[in-house]
Amino acid sequence: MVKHLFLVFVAFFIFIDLGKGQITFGMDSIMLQRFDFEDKQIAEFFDRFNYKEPVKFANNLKSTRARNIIALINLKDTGLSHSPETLNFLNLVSNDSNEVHLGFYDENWYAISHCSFSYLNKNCLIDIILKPEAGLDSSYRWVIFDVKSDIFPAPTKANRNITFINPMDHEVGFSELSKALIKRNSIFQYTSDSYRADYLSAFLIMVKSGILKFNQINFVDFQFLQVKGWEFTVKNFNRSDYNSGWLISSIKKMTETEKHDYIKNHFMNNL
Amino acid sequence: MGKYSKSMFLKNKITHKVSVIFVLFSFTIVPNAFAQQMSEDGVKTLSQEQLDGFREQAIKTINDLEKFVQVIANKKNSLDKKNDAIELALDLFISDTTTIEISSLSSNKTHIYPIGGYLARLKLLPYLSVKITWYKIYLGTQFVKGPNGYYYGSATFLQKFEGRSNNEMGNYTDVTKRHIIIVLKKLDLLNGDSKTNKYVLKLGDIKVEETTHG
Repeated sequence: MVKHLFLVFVAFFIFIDLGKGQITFGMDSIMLQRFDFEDKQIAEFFDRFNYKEPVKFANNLKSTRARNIIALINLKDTGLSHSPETLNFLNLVSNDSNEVHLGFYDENWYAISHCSFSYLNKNCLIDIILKPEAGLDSSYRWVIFDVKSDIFPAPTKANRNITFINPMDHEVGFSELSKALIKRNSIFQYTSDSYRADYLSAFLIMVKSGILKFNQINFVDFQFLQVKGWEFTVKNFNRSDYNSGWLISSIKKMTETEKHDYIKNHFMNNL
Repeated sequence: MGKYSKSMFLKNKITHKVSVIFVLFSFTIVPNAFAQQMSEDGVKTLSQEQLDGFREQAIKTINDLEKFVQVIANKKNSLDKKNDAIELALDLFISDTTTIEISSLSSNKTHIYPIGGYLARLKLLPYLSVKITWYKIYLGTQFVKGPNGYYYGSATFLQKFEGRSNNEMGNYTDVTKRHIIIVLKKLDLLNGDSKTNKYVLKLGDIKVEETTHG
């Protein structure tokens, strides 16, 4: 309860000061005031999370690691800021003896690039999941890890006893294969039980062939799974508020087994 | 996105788009002349001293770039003079594939343009003069080595653009926040038998995040 009130207390200081700015100055002045406080880059998010860069609070509120991390939470989401899970997470990560630090070189964090494409003359949304990958020479690059989209639906294996190629169809030159290819809709049902759809390969071929035309990246967010027992997401909140920039938008408890299953189910299409 | 009235937007629609170009250029951090020494083996996080050095380079370079921008934008300058300034400005970037992303006030859609194309359009702008005031720079502490051996970091800037015109376009002012990739390119310098490594700061892609009325 005390910690809950503390979180609200910090939020109050953050918001009240911006209110003053809005009354006294023009928009450019607000941007100027906000610049020092907002979380401008993911690198800055790491530095503030790790308490390498203490946040300068309004009204001379003293910076601590816990307050630094509170300032990295989307405080306008009361469901998130009032959640017991958020407080438990905060307790864990702000306690220096637990040595919880984040960095670019961590494994198990992902960027999700929410993109707009044109497919068959219609606009479609595709999430491209990227992750940093290390080279042999300590170099790094972001690589495309997977894609998610409604245009890549989970293949149904229903009615496999109705739609199939009969066992003697080879004697007639696979006439039922021809029918399946012409019919198209049930084509996934003609695959082996061991078949798993690889949508990333399909996506790459569609882009390369021009079937899928890129329009733009709408926005990017990040998913962090490297804190033991927890998963959280970071989104960019571009708003006239000190509590803005790259902020934690959700926090969930997740065991290491659940994380493994999550990555397998959400990022790797069960491959 | 900042709060514009619709009429204000319509009035400044053309001038805004053009002014963004100006502002973007002023964000560039030059500096062949200010090479900074870095360790050979995988610099992951720069020291405060190194960051201060790069920040100084950035400030000096921005001042130089502002001069280029003002030369390119000034109607009184000859085409030759403007073209020379464009060439010098282009040299500040890591490659000719560098792009600028520009947000539009009329929609959420963003546009990505090659830097060369924008510089070329810059010289056609009708401004009598351009003033760029740089407010803030935040230089990220991390520089990560890429597969090509370069080190990649990023900076965030806040800058005010003021374009003065005596025609129907009127004057235009805005404040823009943008992010830019900073590339540290390794150079091998020979001095007799010895070889030293230095890193030269070049500019990469630029993204505009927020533009408000100044």
